[in-house]
Amino acid sequence: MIDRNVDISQPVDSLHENEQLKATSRHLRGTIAEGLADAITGAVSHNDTLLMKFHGIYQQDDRDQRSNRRQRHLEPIYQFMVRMRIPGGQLTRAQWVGIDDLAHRYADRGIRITTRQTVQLHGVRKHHLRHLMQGIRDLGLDTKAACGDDSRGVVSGTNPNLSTIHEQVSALAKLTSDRLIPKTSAYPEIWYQQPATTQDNEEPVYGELYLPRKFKVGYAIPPINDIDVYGQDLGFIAVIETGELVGFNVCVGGGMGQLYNREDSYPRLAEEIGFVAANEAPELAETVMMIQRDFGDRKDRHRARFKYTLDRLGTDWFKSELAERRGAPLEPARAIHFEQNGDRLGWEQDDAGLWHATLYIESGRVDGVVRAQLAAFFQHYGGRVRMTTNQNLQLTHIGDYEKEQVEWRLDDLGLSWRLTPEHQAAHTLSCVALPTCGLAMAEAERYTPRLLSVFNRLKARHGVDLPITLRLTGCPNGCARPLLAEIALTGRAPGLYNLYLGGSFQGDRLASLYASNINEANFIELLDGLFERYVLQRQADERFGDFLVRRNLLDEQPEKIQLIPGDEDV
Amino acid sequence: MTQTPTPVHLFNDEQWQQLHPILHQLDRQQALWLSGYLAGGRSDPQTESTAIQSPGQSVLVAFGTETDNCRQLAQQLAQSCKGIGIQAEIVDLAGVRPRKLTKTETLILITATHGDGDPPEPIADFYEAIMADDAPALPDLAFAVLALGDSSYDHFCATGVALDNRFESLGAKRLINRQECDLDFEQPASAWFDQLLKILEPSPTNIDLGSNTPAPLSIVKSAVEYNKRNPISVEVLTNQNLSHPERKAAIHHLELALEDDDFRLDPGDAVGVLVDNPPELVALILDATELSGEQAVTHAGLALPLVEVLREHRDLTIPGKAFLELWSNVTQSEELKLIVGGDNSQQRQFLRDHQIRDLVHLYPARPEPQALVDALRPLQPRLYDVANSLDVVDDELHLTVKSYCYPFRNRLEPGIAAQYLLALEPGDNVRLYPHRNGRFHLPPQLETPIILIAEGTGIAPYRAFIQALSKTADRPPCWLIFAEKDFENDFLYQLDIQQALEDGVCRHVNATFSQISDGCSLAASVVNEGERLASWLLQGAHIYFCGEKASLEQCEAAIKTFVDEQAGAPAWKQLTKDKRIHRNLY
Repeated sequence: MIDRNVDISQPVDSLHENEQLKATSRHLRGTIAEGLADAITGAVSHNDTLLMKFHGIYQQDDRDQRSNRRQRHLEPIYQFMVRMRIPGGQLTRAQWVGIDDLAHRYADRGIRITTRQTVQLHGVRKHHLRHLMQGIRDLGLDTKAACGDDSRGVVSGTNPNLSTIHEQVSALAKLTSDRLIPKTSAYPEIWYQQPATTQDNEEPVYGELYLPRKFKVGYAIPPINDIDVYGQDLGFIAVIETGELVGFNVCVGGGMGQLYNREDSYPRLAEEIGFVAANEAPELAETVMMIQRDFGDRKDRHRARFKYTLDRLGTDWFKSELAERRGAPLEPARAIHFEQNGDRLGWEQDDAGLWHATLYIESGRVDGVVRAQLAAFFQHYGGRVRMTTNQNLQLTHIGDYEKEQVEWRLDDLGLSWRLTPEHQAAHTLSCVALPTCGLAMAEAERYTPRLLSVFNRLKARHGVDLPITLRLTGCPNGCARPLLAEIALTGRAPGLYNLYLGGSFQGDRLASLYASNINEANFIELLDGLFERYVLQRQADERFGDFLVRRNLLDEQPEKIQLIPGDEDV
Repeated sequence: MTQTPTPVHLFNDEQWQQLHPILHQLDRQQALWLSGYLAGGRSDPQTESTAIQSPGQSVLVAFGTETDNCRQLAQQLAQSCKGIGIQAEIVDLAGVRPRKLTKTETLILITATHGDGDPPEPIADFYEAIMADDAPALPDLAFAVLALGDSSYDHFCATGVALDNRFESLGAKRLINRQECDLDFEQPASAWFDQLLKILEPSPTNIDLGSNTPAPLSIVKSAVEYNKRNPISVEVLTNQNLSHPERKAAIHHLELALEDDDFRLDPGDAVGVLVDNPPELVALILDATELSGEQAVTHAGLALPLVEVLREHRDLTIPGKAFLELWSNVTQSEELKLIVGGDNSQQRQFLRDHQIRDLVHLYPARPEPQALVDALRPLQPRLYDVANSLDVVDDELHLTVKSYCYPFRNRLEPGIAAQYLLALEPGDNVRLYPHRNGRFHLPPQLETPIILIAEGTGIAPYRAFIQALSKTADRPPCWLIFAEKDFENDFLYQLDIQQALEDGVCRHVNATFSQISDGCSLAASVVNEGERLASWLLQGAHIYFCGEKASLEQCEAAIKTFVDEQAGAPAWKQLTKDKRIHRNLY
């Protein structure tokens, strides 16, 4: 018998307060509609902020302005981040143009391509929310469950030179997403102002309590691990035999998030547990999610992710529970091989002869000049658009006959360098962080240009020319999947970061903590020494992360690492 | 007072023998104190009724004012009357009904004119009644009128003129010709008082023992009375721009240190701020006239450097008739002479089209410094509503000040007062005095519901109300309606208002912003809650209007129309009569 002391079998009033909130929210309605009508504040109530995440909306404020606003007897500049659900990350040209238009009307700072292959808009004011949500609806999109304790948008690896397989996988990602998406009619009621409907059995899968925590599902297509499949709660790795998609290796229990101040909080790689036929993947996803629904920790939110459920109850237990629920165990995992977790930038021709171009977008931010250039480009463009999980933008499905013209236009508009960017930039990710993210303890996106230039100078000095995956986040929650990088900085305080080293270039090994609370000068100094040894002692084509691990350099930590309890609670 | 006969009806001989020598040694102040002491300290009904019955001339000094000047003059006159043994009763014209005047012997009327010829807002009812066809005849009344005005308006002293004529036509006897005063009213008013006092025969039997004011305790405490001539100087603690830095008409929140318990104000009251002219303007005048700022001139009987008088005491913006005459003399300009010799309306038009800086620039001259000072109008204090309750924050004064600029001859002129206040820095000092807004206080019964309507800086006195109410246990229902431009940047005192809502001090708050709710007016947010409005009015609610005049009047008109169309709701006219409508417009 397993211990069910912390899961949904317990009385609701003994569970975490968020569980009680969900239970009484009438399937995510809460008092959101009332809050939208309250003209005295730009915010909604605390409880409604939690419920609105399930609708893809985060309440934030401009943290740069907080103290000035207080002096002016004004509340903070409350605003909302609205994240769309775009499983597989594909858009038509018209949808991209439409999103850009909505961003002009209702958002600040353009469009942000996220690490989950979707777009989010920042700085949306409360009185614009409904207009925006209806505008998104009119584009054939929505924001359901883009945040919250539910299954987030399902990501699909982008492998432009395997087009047929990619189409199949992408379609499965969409099917999986549709299957896992919350069904409550709170969404159209609140945002589209549709009349209220019956509330009986609104959520046959989720029930009233939804999931204990977020649940991330992703499909990867080797040899590119762009989605970081080992960071997903549930990952599917395409198994391709003789050019055909035969099924997926299944991996479970990945997750980046951790707290600095709790030892029982840690990042975890997903482990492969078997193989499933391609057409069974969406159903399997639902079954796995339901196991997490039933057994996940609903008392301690910091232990609620699926990775902890697996560690708490054991992978063997999970495999047998899964076998029981689906009527059969999984087949053994097949052989797969990943080469990199970054995108392949530039032009690629697929097996059907169509062309795809991946454009580098720094931190995924489409604003200012690049926004104007892209807007001009999209005025005449016959192909489609896809976001990658590395925050880049792909122009896809370009016919042979129009490739030259597209190239010419990219060149003319000053976009063509994005096809062959400086390599290091293309392997660098950062989260949004300040000023809008409430969790950020340090800068990320805004610090990226400077960090990159500092880092590139250092590399140049040592003659390090291979790209190194470098990821920067404002907090330890892992939005830019930092711990799957060769070098990662996670924010501790303004100007101070924890340094993690030794992840693999293909995203199948976690980086480990090397130094705490370092500033930029410390960062340069520490890497200076390591680079010196790297260029002298590396093997041919050896990656920096692999080198550090092979030489056991990570054990020679520069200082005794102390986890200083932080006061930030996530 | 030297030949006072025995007031036999009051004292027996022995008492009088003892009293008489002492009384003769008292100076005026001592006599005043004693009279107050006796009247207040021994306030048995007999004493009072004796006093009222005492024979002799009794004078009703009535004032009509919005800015308090007339009330202060009335007090000055009443004091002088008492000094020569005349009983004087001071009343606010706002509370006088014409019928009362049929029983009055002597009426001295001191009234201002508001804006362009209207009676001051508080006395509108009286004015309407006395001008009405059914006003009572006043054959037994003797009267005199002191009229205050501002000669930069077309209808100078219009209210005083109209009332003066009206009393005559109602059969009253004019004691002395009307005196019209411009902004520098103090000297002409005093001269007129002297003339008047000679005519009002002092009663030989009255030595002013029966006066029922002032109260003795306040005299014993010798409390300082702050007023325009005796301002308090307070230090600036903060001067915070509440607006977005790009907003042209910025609104600032000033916090001033108040360290004197004698400075009393109630929520709804204002302060008069004695502002300085901007240093650039003073320099410009000195340069243009080639005068040295160090030269001594006489101001109010004191020798002061010219620069100080120009900076602190004289209006350097708007020229009056006296300045025009002086300038015509010193320049010997034919053009100016023509205007001085021309008709009134031409003259006024010319003065409207030229500020002092324009005249000294267009018609350069070097006047005598004293002549210059004498020809300039006095620099007027500006009134600002106090935005805090002294019962809650007792050692600070909070003001809400909006920047103001107006186009003039192809340039943008900053308003002197706003410019002065907005430029203050922490540590600077400001001179000011309390100004009572008697008709803009919380209702006397605390349980009365209140509806507070404001635009822009009109929120200031409501912040004081809300603070005061937050300290009371039984709060009246309070409904605040506020309008500004931009929700995100112009929601004045948003945090205070949110707190008041959370604490239940405000039951409802409607805030509308022109940038969000296209054209949704102040009135609309009241009328949209028509049911609540009607039911609150039935519960006796008072309605307050505060802010810029044009939009608040428009708002009132819309609400009035709505209320008057509602069956069962009291008529607006009745609400006004019952003093349930309060206005503080500028």
